[in-house]
Amino acid sequence: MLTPNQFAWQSILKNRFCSLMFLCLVGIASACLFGVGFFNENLSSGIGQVKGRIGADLIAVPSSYDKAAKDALFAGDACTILFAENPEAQISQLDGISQVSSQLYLKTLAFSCCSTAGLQLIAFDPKTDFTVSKWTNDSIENLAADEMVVGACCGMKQGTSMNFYGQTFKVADVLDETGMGYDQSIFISYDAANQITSSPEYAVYFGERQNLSSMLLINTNSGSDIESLSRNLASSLDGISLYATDSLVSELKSQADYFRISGLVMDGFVIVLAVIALFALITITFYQRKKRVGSLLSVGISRGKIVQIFFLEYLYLTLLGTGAGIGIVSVFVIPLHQIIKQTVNMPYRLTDFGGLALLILAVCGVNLLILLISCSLTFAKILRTEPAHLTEEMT
Amino acid sequence: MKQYSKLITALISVVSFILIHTACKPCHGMMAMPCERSTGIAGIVLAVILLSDILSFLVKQEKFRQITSVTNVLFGVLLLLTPIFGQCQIASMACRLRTFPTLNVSGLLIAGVSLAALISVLVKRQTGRKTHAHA
Repeated sequence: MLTPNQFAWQSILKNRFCSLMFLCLVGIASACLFGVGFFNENLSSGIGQVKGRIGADLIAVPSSYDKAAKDALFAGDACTILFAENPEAQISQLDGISQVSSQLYLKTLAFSCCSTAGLQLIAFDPKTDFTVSKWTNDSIENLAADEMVVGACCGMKQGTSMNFYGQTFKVADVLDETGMGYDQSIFISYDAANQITSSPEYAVYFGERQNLSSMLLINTNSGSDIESLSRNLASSLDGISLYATDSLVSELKSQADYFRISGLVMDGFVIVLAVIALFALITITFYQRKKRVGSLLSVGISRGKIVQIFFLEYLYLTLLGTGAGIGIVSVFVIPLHQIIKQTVNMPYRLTDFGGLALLILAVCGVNLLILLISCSLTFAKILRTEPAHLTEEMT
Repeated sequence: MKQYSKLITALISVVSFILIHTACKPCHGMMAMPCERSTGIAGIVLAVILLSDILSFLVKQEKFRQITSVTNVLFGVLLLLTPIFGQCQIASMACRLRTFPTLNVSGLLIAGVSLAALISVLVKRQTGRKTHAHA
Protein backbone atom coordinates (compact mmCIF):
# COMPACT_ATOMS: atom_id res chain seq x y z
CA MET A 1 0.00 0.00 0.00
CA LEU A 2 1.26 3.48 -0.89
CA THR A 3 1.99 5.89 1.94
CA PRO A 4 1.02 9.61 1.50
CA ASN A 5 4.71 10.28 1.05
CA GLN A 6 5.08 7.84 -1.85
CA PHE A 7 1.77 9.02 -3.30
CA ALA A 8 3.06 12.61 -3.30
CA TRP A 9 6.34 11.68 -5.05
CA GLN A 10 4.45 9.63 -7.62
CA SER A 11 2.19 12.60 -8.39
CA ILE A 12 5.25 14.83 -8.79
CA LEU A 13 6.90 12.41 -11.23
CA LYS A 14 3.68 11.66 -13.13
CA ASN A 15 2.66 15.30 -13.70
CA ARG A 16 6.12 16.41 -14.77
CA PHE A 17 5.06 19.54 -16.64
CA CYS A 18 2.93 20.90 -13.77
CA SER A 19 5.67 20.00 -11.25
CA LEU A 20 8.28 21.77 -13.38
CA MET A 21 6.13 24.90 -13.66
CA PHE A 22 5.50 24.91 -9.90
CA LEU A 23 9.24 24.44 -9.30
CA CYS A 24 10.10 27.30 -11.68
CA LEU A 25 7.60 29.68 -10.03
CA VAL A 26 8.84 28.94 -6.51
CA GLY A 27 12.46 29.00 -7.75
CA ILE A 28 12.07 32.45 -9.34
CA ALA A 29 10.27 33.85 -6.28
CA SER A 30 12.98 32.42 -3.99
CA ALA A 31 15.77 33.75 -6.20
CA CYS A 32 14.22 37.26 -6.07
CA LEU A 33 13.59 37.18 -2.31
CA PHE A 34 17.00 35.71 -1.49
CA GLY A 35 18.92 37.86 -4.00
CA VAL A 36 17.41 41.13 -2.75
CA GLY A 37 17.76 40.09 0.90
CA PHE A 38 21.37 38.94 0.45
CA PHE A 39 22.36 42.18 -1.29
CA ASN A 40 20.77 44.32 1.45
CA GLU A 41 22.32 42.17 4.21
CA ASN A 42 25.77 42.60 2.62
CA LEU A 43 25.28 46.37 2.34
CA SER A 44 24.16 46.64 5.98
CA SER A 45 27.08 44.47 7.06
CA GLY A 46 29.54 46.74 5.17
CA ILE A 47 28.03 50.01 6.44
CA GLY A 48 27.79 48.69 10.00
CA GLN A 49 31.58 48.31 9.99
CA VAL A 50 32.41 51.82 8.69
CA LYS A 51 32.19 53.81 11.92
CA GLY A 52 34.12 51.25 13.93
CA ARG A 53 36.69 50.67 11.22
CA ILE A 54 37.57 54.30 10.42
CA GLY A 55 37.91 54.90 14.14
CA ALA A 56 38.18 58.69 13.74
CA ASP A 57 35.70 61.49 14.44
CA LEU A 58 36.80 63.67 11.54
CA ILE A 59 38.53 63.10 8.22
CA ALA A 60 40.42 65.89 6.46
CA VAL A 61 41.30 65.68 2.77
CA PRO A 62 42.48 68.24 0.20
CA SER A 63 39.32 69.94 -1.13
CA SER A 64 40.32 69.33 -4.76
CA TYR A 65 40.36 65.56 -4.09
CA ASP A 66 36.92 65.22 -2.40
CA LYS A 67 35.50 62.62 -4.78
CA ALA A 68 38.77 60.72 -5.23
CA ALA A 69 39.13 60.40 -1.44
CA LYS A 70 35.56 59.11 -1.01
CA ASP A 71 36.01 56.60 -3.85
CA ALA A 72 39.31 55.40 -2.39
CA LEU A 73 37.82 55.09 1.09
CA PHE A 74 34.57 53.32 0.22
CA ALA A 75 34.98 51.77 -3.25
CA GLY A 76 38.71 51.07 -3.26
CA ASP A 77 39.39 53.07 -6.43
CA ALA A 78 43.14 53.65 -6.36
CA CYS A 79 44.36 57.24 -6.52
CA THR A 80 47.22 59.48 -5.49
CA ILE A 81 46.11 62.32 -3.22
CA LEU A 82 48.44 65.04 -1.98
CA PHE A 83 48.06 68.06 0.32
CA ALA A 84 50.13 71.00 -0.93
CA GLU A 85 51.44 71.29 2.66
CA ASN A 86 50.97 68.69 5.39
CA PRO A 87 48.63 70.39 7.92
CA GLU A 88 49.13 67.75 10.64
CA ALA A 89 51.21 70.00 12.96
CA GLN A 90 48.73 72.91 12.64
CA ILE A 91 45.69 70.76 13.38
CA SER A 92 47.21 68.91 16.33
CA GLN A 93 47.81 72.24 18.11
CA LEU A 94 44.19 73.34 17.92
CA ASP A 95 41.84 73.16 20.93
CA GLY A 96 39.54 70.17 21.21
CA ILE A 97 41.77 67.84 19.18
CA SER A 98 43.08 64.76 21.00
CA GLN A 99 44.73 62.69 18.24
CA VAL A 100 45.82 63.30 14.65
CA SER A 101 47.24 60.65 12.34
CA SER A 102 48.37 61.29 8.79
CA GLN A 103 47.99 58.86 5.88
CA LEU A 104 49.46 59.09 2.39
CA TYR A 105 47.53 57.58 -0.57
CA LEU A 106 49.65 56.45 -3.52
CA LYS A 107 48.51 54.67 -6.65
CA THR A 108 51.08 52.09 -7.75
CA LEU A 109 52.75 52.36 -11.12
CA ALA A 110 53.17 49.48 -13.60
CA PHE A 111 55.33 46.84 -11.97
CA SER A 112 57.39 44.02 -13.37
CA CYS A 113 55.23 40.96 -12.55
CA CYS A 114 51.95 42.08 -14.09
CA SER A 115 51.37 45.10 -16.26
CA THR A 116 48.07 46.07 -14.61
CA ALA A 117 49.03 48.76 -12.15
CA GLY A 118 46.70 50.85 -10.02
CA LEU A 119 46.85 49.30 -6.56
CA GLN A 120 46.22 51.54 -3.57
CA LEU A 121 49.22 52.01 -1.29
CA ILE A 122 48.45 53.75 2.01
CA ALA A 123 51.33 54.97 4.12
CA PHE A 124 50.60 55.39 7.82
CA ASP A 125 52.65 56.29 10.83
CA PRO A 126 52.57 53.28 13.19
CA LYS A 127 53.46 55.57 16.13
CA THR A 128 50.52 57.97 15.81
CA ASP A 129 48.12 55.54 14.14
CA PHE A 130 44.84 54.73 15.87
CA THR A 131 42.92 53.20 12.95
CA VAL A 132 44.91 50.57 11.01
CA SER A 133 46.14 48.85 14.21
CA LYS A 134 42.47 48.31 15.22
CA TRP A 135 41.93 45.89 12.33
CA THR A 136 44.53 43.37 13.34
CA ASN A 137 45.23 41.25 16.40
CA ASP A 138 48.99 41.50 15.94
CA SER A 139 50.98 44.57 16.85
CA ILE A 140 52.09 46.56 13.82
CA GLU A 141 53.77 49.33 15.80
CA ASN A 142 57.21 48.22 14.66
CA LEU A 143 56.38 47.78 10.97
CA ALA A 144 59.72 47.82 9.13
CA ALA A 145 60.35 49.88 5.98
CA ASP A 146 60.40 46.71 3.83
CA GLU A 147 57.18 45.30 5.32
CA MET A 148 53.54 45.85 4.41
CA VAL A 149 50.13 45.06 5.86
CA VAL A 150 47.50 44.05 3.29
CA GLY A 151 43.71 44.33 3.18
CA ALA A 152 41.55 41.20 3.40
CA CYS A 153 40.68 41.16 -0.32
CA CYS A 154 44.20 41.66 -1.68
CA GLY A 155 44.56 37.90 -1.96
CA MET A 156 48.05 37.86 -0.45
CA LYS A 157 49.28 35.71 2.41
CA GLN A 158 51.70 36.49 5.20
CA GLY A 159 55.28 36.17 3.95
CA THR A 160 54.46 36.95 0.27
CA SER A 161 56.72 39.53 -1.38
CA MET A 162 55.73 42.18 -3.90
CA ASN A 163 57.51 44.96 -5.75
CA PHE A 164 56.19 48.56 -5.69
CA TYR A 165 58.01 51.70 -6.82
CA GLY A 166 61.20 49.65 -7.27
CA GLN A 167 61.17 48.35 -3.66
CA THR A 168 60.34 44.88 -2.45
CA PHE A 169 57.85 44.60 0.43
CA LYS A 170 57.01 41.50 2.45
CA VAL A 171 53.51 40.91 3.87
CA ALA A 172 53.74 41.21 7.67
CA ASP A 173 50.02 40.90 8.38
CA VAL A 174 46.60 40.60 6.75
CA LEU A 175 43.77 42.82 8.06
CA ASP A 176 40.22 41.70 8.81
CA GLU A 177 37.58 42.41 6.12
CA THR A 178 36.12 45.90 6.44
CA GLY A 179 33.80 46.06 3.42
CA MET A 180 35.45 49.37 2.45
CA GLY A 181 38.18 50.33 0.01
CA TYR A 182 40.72 49.39 2.68
CA ASP A 183 40.16 45.72 1.79
CA GLN A 184 41.95 46.24 -1.53
CA SER A 185 44.64 48.53 -0.08
CA ILE A 186 48.22 47.85 0.94
CA PHE A 187 49.57 49.62 4.02
CA ILE A 188 53.22 50.59 4.40
CA SER A 189 55.04 52.67 6.99
CA TYR A 190 55.81 56.38 6.51
CA ASP A 191 59.55 55.49 6.50
CA ALA A 192 59.01 53.38 3.37
CA ALA A 193 56.80 56.07 1.79
CA ASN A 194 59.46 58.73 2.47
CA GLN A 195 62.04 56.61 0.65
CA ILE A 196 59.73 56.56 -2.38
CA THR A 197 58.66 60.21 -2.35
CA SER A 198 62.20 61.53 -1.77
CA SER A 199 63.67 59.33 -4.49
CA PRO A 200 64.98 61.27 -7.56
CA GLU A 201 63.51 58.47 -9.70
CA TYR A 202 59.98 59.64 -8.85
CA ALA A 203 60.77 63.37 -8.61
CA VAL A 204 58.27 64.08 -11.38
CA TYR A 205 55.46 62.76 -9.14
CA PHE A 206 56.55 63.82 -5.64
CA GLY A 207 59.26 66.45 -6.10
CA GLU A 208 61.77 64.57 -3.88
CA ARG A 209 59.79 65.61 -0.78
CA GLN A 210 59.23 63.75 2.50
CA ASN A 211 56.30 63.49 4.96
CA LEU A 212 53.66 64.13 2.33
CA SER A 213 50.06 63.67 3.40
CA SER A 214 46.75 62.78 1.72
CA MET A 215 44.34 62.35 4.58
CA LEU A 216 44.28 63.30 8.25
CA LEU A 217 42.32 61.19 10.67
CA ILE A 218 41.29 63.30 13.65
CA ASN A 219 39.91 62.32 17.03
CA THR A 220 38.34 65.00 19.21
CA ASN A 221 38.34 65.33 22.98
CA SER A 222 35.40 63.59 24.61
CA GLY A 223 32.40 65.90 24.90
CA SER A 224 33.52 68.19 22.06
CA ASP A 225 30.94 69.37 19.55
CA ILE A 226 32.26 67.71 16.39
CA GLU A 227 30.16 69.84 14.00
CA SER A 228 31.31 73.19 15.41
CA LEU A 229 34.90 71.96 15.66
CA SER A 230 34.72 70.90 12.01
CA ARG A 231 33.42 74.36 11.01
CA ASN A 232 36.21 76.08 12.99
CA LEU A 233 38.86 73.87 11.39
CA ALA A 234 37.50 74.45 7.89
CA SER A 235 37.52 78.24 8.38
CA SER A 236 41.03 78.33 9.84
CA LEU A 237 42.66 76.11 7.18
CA ASP A 238 42.57 76.75 3.43
CA GLY A 239 42.05 74.03 0.81
CA ILE A 240 40.80 71.42 3.25
CA SER A 241 37.53 69.49 3.21
CA LEU A 242 36.41 68.04 6.52
CA TYR A 243 33.98 65.18 6.99
CA ALA A 244 32.47 63.99 10.25
CA THR A 245 32.47 60.17 10.24
CA ASP A 246 28.96 60.16 11.74
CA SER A 247 27.54 62.22 8.87
CA LEU A 248 29.38 60.03 6.32
CA VAL A 249 27.85 56.94 7.93
CA SER A 250 24.35 58.47 8.01
CA GLU A 251 24.72 59.44 4.32
CA LEU A 252 25.64 55.83 3.52
CA LYS A 253 22.79 54.54 5.65
CA SER A 254 20.25 56.67 3.80
CA GLN A 255 21.56 55.28 0.49
CA ALA A 256 21.29 51.74 1.88
CA ASP A 257 17.73 52.50 3.07
CA TYR A 258 16.82 53.50 -0.49
CA PHE A 259 18.07 50.10 -1.71
CA ARG A 260 16.21 48.33 1.13
CA ILE A 261 12.88 50.05 0.42
CA SER A 262 13.19 49.37 -3.32
CA GLY A 263 13.96 45.75 -2.49
CA LEU A 264 10.94 45.47 -0.18
CA VAL A 265 8.63 46.88 -2.87
CA MET A 266 10.04 44.35 -5.37
CA ASP A 267 9.64 41.53 -2.82
CA GLY A 268 6.01 42.58 -2.29
CA PHE A 269 5.26 42.34 -6.01
CA VAL A 270 7.03 38.98 -6.26
CA ILE A 271 5.02 37.57 -3.34
CA VAL A 272 1.68 38.77 -4.78
CA LEU A 273 2.54 37.37 -8.22
CA ALA A 274 3.71 34.06 -6.74
CA VAL A 275 0.50 33.69 -4.68
CA ILE A 276 -1.71 34.37 -7.74
CA ALA A 277 0.29 32.04 -10.04
CA LEU A 278 0.51 29.20 -7.50
CA PHE A 279 -3.18 29.55 -6.59
CA ALA A 280 -4.08 29.25 -10.28
CA LEU A 281 -1.79 26.25 -10.79
CA ILE A 282 -3.05 24.42 -7.68
CA THR A 283 -6.70 25.09 -8.56
CA ILE A 284 -6.26 23.86 -12.15
CA THR A 285 -4.45 20.74 -10.88
CA PHE A 286 -7.24 20.13 -8.36
CA TYR A 287 -9.94 20.35 -11.06
CA GLN A 288 -7.90 17.93 -13.21
CA ARG A 289 -7.76 15.47 -10.30
CA LYS A 290 -11.30 16.07 -9.02
CA LYS A 291 -12.53 12.64 -10.04
CA ARG A 292 -9.48 10.96 -8.52
CA VAL A 293 -10.06 12.78 -5.22
CA GLY A 294 -13.73 11.75 -5.32
CA SER A 295 -12.77 8.11 -5.93
CA LEU A 296 -10.33 8.17 -3.03
CA LEU A 297 -13.04 9.60 -0.75
CA SER A 298 -15.50 6.97 -1.99
CA VAL A 299 -13.18 4.09 -1.08
CA GLY A 300 -12.93 5.43 2.48
CA ILE A 301 -9.69 7.38 2.49
CA SER A 302 -10.13 10.23 4.95
CA ARG A 303 -10.24 13.87 3.79
CA GLY A 304 -7.33 14.64 6.08
CA LYS A 305 -5.16 12.06 4.32
CA ILE A 306 -6.06 13.45 0.88
CA VAL A 307 -5.20 16.97 2.03
CA GLN A 308 -1.94 15.55 3.42
CA ILE A 309 -1.08 13.96 0.05
CA PHE A 310 -1.75 17.26 -1.78
CA PHE A 311 0.15 19.27 0.82
CA LEU A 312 3.17 16.94 0.82
CA GLU A 313 3.37 17.13 -2.97
CA TYR A 314 3.43 20.93 -2.94
CA LEU A 315 5.66 21.06 0.13
CA TYR A 316 8.35 18.95 -1.57
CA LEU A 317 8.12 21.08 -4.71
CA THR A 318 8.31 24.28 -2.63
CA LEU A 319 11.39 23.08 -0.75
CA LEU A 320 13.07 21.94 -3.98
CA GLY A 321 12.22 25.23 -5.71
CA THR A 322 13.48 27.26 -2.73
CA GLY A 323 16.75 25.30 -2.73
CA ALA A 324 17.14 25.73 -6.49
CA GLY A 325 16.43 29.50 -6.34
CA ILE A 326 18.85 30.09 -3.48
CA GLY A 327 21.45 27.85 -5.13
CA ILE A 328 21.29 29.65 -8.48
CA VAL A 329 21.61 33.09 -6.85
CA SER A 330 24.54 31.86 -4.73
CA VAL A 331 26.29 30.44 -7.82
CA PHE A 332 26.29 33.94 -9.32
CA VAL A 333 26.53 36.25 -6.30
CA ILE A 334 29.28 34.57 -4.28
CA PRO A 335 31.93 34.11 -7.02
CA LEU A 336 31.15 37.57 -8.46
CA HIS A 337 31.27 39.24 -5.02
CA GLN A 338 34.23 41.50 -5.86
CA ILE A 339 32.64 42.78 -9.09
CA ILE A 340 29.38 43.59 -7.25
CA LYS A 341 31.40 45.33 -4.53
CA GLN A 342 33.10 47.55 -7.11
CA THR A 343 29.83 48.25 -8.94
CA VAL A 344 27.80 49.41 -5.92
CA ASN A 345 30.47 51.95 -4.92
CA MET A 346 29.51 51.59 -1.25
CA PRO A 347 30.85 49.56 1.69
CA TYR A 348 29.82 46.00 0.84
CA ARG A 349 30.84 42.93 2.82
CA LEU A 350 29.63 39.32 2.68
CA THR A 351 27.36 38.76 5.65
CA ASP A 352 28.40 36.20 8.26
CA PHE A 353 27.10 32.62 8.39
CA GLY A 354 24.46 33.47 11.04
CA GLY A 355 22.98 36.25 8.91
CA LEU A 356 22.96 33.98 5.86
CA ALA A 357 21.26 31.14 7.75
CA LEU A 358 18.59 33.55 9.06
CA LEU A 359 17.98 34.87 5.55
CA ILE A 360 17.59 31.33 4.15
CA LEU A 361 15.13 30.51 6.96
CA ALA A 362 13.20 33.73 6.23
CA VAL A 363 12.95 32.85 2.50
CA CYS A 364 11.77 29.31 3.39
CA GLY A 365 9.21 30.81 5.81
CA VAL A 366 7.86 33.27 3.23
CA ASN A 367 7.62 30.48 0.62
CA LEU A 368 5.73 28.23 3.03
CA LEU A 369 3.38 31.11 3.78
CA ILE A 370 2.85 31.65 0.03
CA LEU A 371 2.11 27.93 -0.31
CA LEU A 372 -0.38 27.92 2.59
CA ILE A 373 -2.24 30.95 1.20
CA SER A 374 -2.33 29.43 -2.31
CA CYS A 375 -3.48 26.01 -1.07
CA SER A 376 -6.05 27.09 1.50
CA LEU A 377 -9.01 27.51 -0.88
CA THR A 378 -8.39 24.20 -2.66
CA PHE A 379 -8.02 22.36 0.63
CA ALA A 380 -11.21 23.96 1.95
CA LYS A 381 -12.97 22.69 -1.17
CA ILE A 382 -11.68 19.13 -0.62
CA LEU A 383 -12.81 19.23 3.00
CA ARG A 384 -16.31 20.57 2.14
CA THR A 385 -17.37 18.91 -1.14
CA GLU A 386 -19.26 15.63 -1.18
CA PRO A 387 -17.54 12.68 -2.94
CA ALA A 388 -20.47 12.38 -5.38
CA HIS A 389 -19.98 15.99 -6.52
CA LEU A 390 -16.31 15.41 -7.00
CA THR A 391 -16.82 12.29 -9.10
CA GLU A 392 -19.71 14.07 -10.86
CA GLU A 393 -22.06 11.13 -10.21
CA MET A 394 -25.36 12.98 -9.71
CA THR A 395 -28.71 11.28 -9.38
CA MET B 1 15.81 16.67 -19.60
CA LYS B 2 19.07 15.20 -20.94
CA GLN B 3 18.64 16.87 -24.35
CA TYR B 4 17.80 20.19 -22.68
CA SER B 5 20.81 19.78 -20.40
CA LYS B 6 23.10 19.39 -23.43
CA LEU B 7 21.60 22.52 -24.97
CA ILE B 8 22.06 24.46 -21.72
CA THR B 9 25.67 23.32 -21.18
CA ALA B 10 26.48 24.06 -24.83
CA LEU B 11 25.06 27.58 -24.44
CA ILE B 12 26.94 28.16 -21.17
CA SER B 13 30.22 27.00 -22.71
CA VAL B 14 29.77 29.25 -25.78
CA VAL B 15 28.88 32.31 -23.65
CA SER B 16 31.77 31.63 -21.24
CA PHE B 17 34.21 31.12 -24.11
CA ILE B 18 33.18 34.46 -25.61
CA LEU B 19 33.29 36.21 -22.22
CA ILE B 20 36.81 35.04 -21.28
CA HIS B 21 38.06 36.35 -24.61
CA THR B 22 36.23 39.69 -24.50
CA ALA B 23 34.71 41.37 -21.41
CA CYS B 24 36.31 39.04 -18.87
CA LYS B 25 39.68 38.42 -20.48
CA PRO B 26 42.68 37.89 -18.19
CA CYS B 27 45.55 40.28 -17.52
CA HIS B 28 47.93 40.87 -20.38
CA GLY B 29 51.50 42.02 -19.97
CA MET B 30 54.72 42.28 -21.89
CA MET B 31 55.72 38.81 -20.70
CA ALA B 32 53.69 35.57 -20.60
CA MET B 33 51.45 35.60 -17.54
CA PRO B 34 50.28 32.56 -15.55
CA CYS B 35 46.61 33.57 -15.77
CA GLU B 36 46.80 33.61 -19.59
CA ARG B 37 47.94 29.98 -19.54
CA SER B 38 45.07 28.99 -17.19
CA THR B 39 42.56 30.84 -19.35
CA GLY B 40 43.92 29.03 -22.42
CA ILE B 41 43.35 25.68 -20.66
CA ALA B 42 39.84 26.78 -19.65
CA GLY B 43 39.14 27.74 -23.26
CA ILE B 44 40.16 24.25 -24.41
CA VAL B 45 37.92 22.66 -21.73
CA LEU B 46 34.97 24.81 -22.84
CA ALA B 47 35.57 23.87 -26.49
CA VAL B 48 35.67 20.16 -25.54
CA ILE B 49 32.37 20.52 -23.62
CA LEU B 50 30.77 22.18 -26.65
CA LEU B 51 32.10 19.48 -28.98
CA SER B 52 30.83 16.65 -26.75
CA ASP B 53 27.41 18.33 -26.57
CA ILE B 54 27.23 18.64 -30.36
CA LEU B 55 28.30 15.00 -30.71
CA SER B 56 25.63 13.85 -28.24
CA PHE B 57 23.02 15.60 -30.42
CA LEU B 58 24.29 13.72 -33.45
CA VAL B 59 24.96 10.32 -31.87
CA LYS B 60 21.61 8.99 -30.69
CA GLN B 61 23.03 6.27 -28.42
CA GLU B 62 21.80 6.53 -24.81
CA LYS B 63 25.09 5.29 -23.37
CA PHE B 64 27.09 7.94 -25.24
CA ARG B 65 24.82 10.68 -23.87
CA GLN B 66 25.28 9.41 -20.33
CA ILE B 67 29.05 9.29 -20.76
CA THR B 68 29.07 12.90 -22.03
CA SER B 69 26.98 13.92 -18.98
CA VAL B 70 29.59 12.35 -16.69
CA THR B 71 32.46 14.01 -18.58
CA ASN B 72 30.62 17.36 -18.44
CA VAL B 73 30.41 17.08 -14.64
CA LEU B 74 34.17 16.40 -14.53
CA PHE B 75 34.94 19.25 -16.95
CA GLY B 76 32.75 21.56 -14.86
CA VAL B 77 34.84 20.70 -11.81
CA LEU B 78 38.01 21.22 -13.89
CA LEU B 79 36.80 24.73 -14.78
CA LEU B 80 36.50 25.47 -11.05
CA LEU B 81 40.08 24.30 -10.59
CA THR B 82 41.67 26.29 -13.46
CA PRO B 83 43.33 28.85 -11.10
CA ILE B 84 45.70 26.07 -9.97
CA PHE B 85 47.35 26.25 -13.41
CA GLY B 86 48.41 29.81 -12.56
CA GLN B 87 46.91 33.12 -11.50
CA CYS B 88 48.09 36.63 -10.63
CA GLN B 89 49.09 37.33 -7.06
CA ILE B 90 46.77 40.24 -6.32
CA ALA B 91 43.00 39.85 -6.00
CA SER B 92 42.20 43.11 -7.77
CA MET B 93 43.87 41.98 -11.03
CA ALA B 94 41.52 41.42 -13.99
CA CYS B 95 41.99 37.63 -13.99
CA ARG B 96 40.97 37.23 -10.34
CA LEU B 97 38.27 39.86 -10.52
CA ARG B 98 36.54 38.71 -13.73
CA THR B 99 38.04 35.72 -15.58
CA PHE B 100 38.17 33.14 -12.77
CA PRO B 101 34.81 34.14 -11.19
CA THR B 102 33.23 33.78 -14.68
CA LEU B 103 34.84 30.35 -15.05
CA ASN B 104 33.67 29.42 -11.52
CA VAL B 105 30.07 30.35 -12.36
CA SER B 106 30.13 28.47 -15.67
CA GLY B 107 31.86 25.46 -14.06
CA LEU B 108 29.26 25.29 -11.30
CA LEU B 109 26.38 25.65 -13.78
CA ILE B 110 27.77 23.04 -16.22
CA ALA B 111 28.50 20.54 -13.42
CA GLY B 112 25.10 21.22 -11.75
CA VAL B 113 23.02 20.89 -14.94
CA SER B 114 24.88 17.73 -16.04
CA LEU B 115 24.52 16.21 -12.58
CA ALA B 116 20.77 17.00 -12.55
CA ALA B 117 20.46 15.31 -15.98
CA LEU B 118 22.28 12.22 -14.70
CA ILE B 119 20.09 12.05 -11.59
CA SER B 120 16.93 12.41 -13.70
CA VAL B 121 18.08 9.48 -15.89
CA LEU B 122 18.75 7.36 -12.79
CA VAL B 123 15.35 8.23 -11.23
CA LYS B 124 13.58 7.46 -14.51
CA ARG B 125 15.38 4.14 -14.75
CA GLN B 126 14.49 3.31 -11.13
CA THR B 127 10.78 4.16 -11.59
CA GLY B 128 10.79 2.28 -14.91
CA ARG B 129 12.17 -0.82 -13.19
CA LYS B 130 9.52 -0.58 -10.43
CA THR B 131 6.68 -0.26 -12.96
CA HIS B 132 8.10 -3.22 -14.85
CA ALA B 133 8.27 -5.29 -11.65
CA HIS B 134 4.64 -4.38 -10.75
CA ALA B 135 3.50 -5.39 -14.25
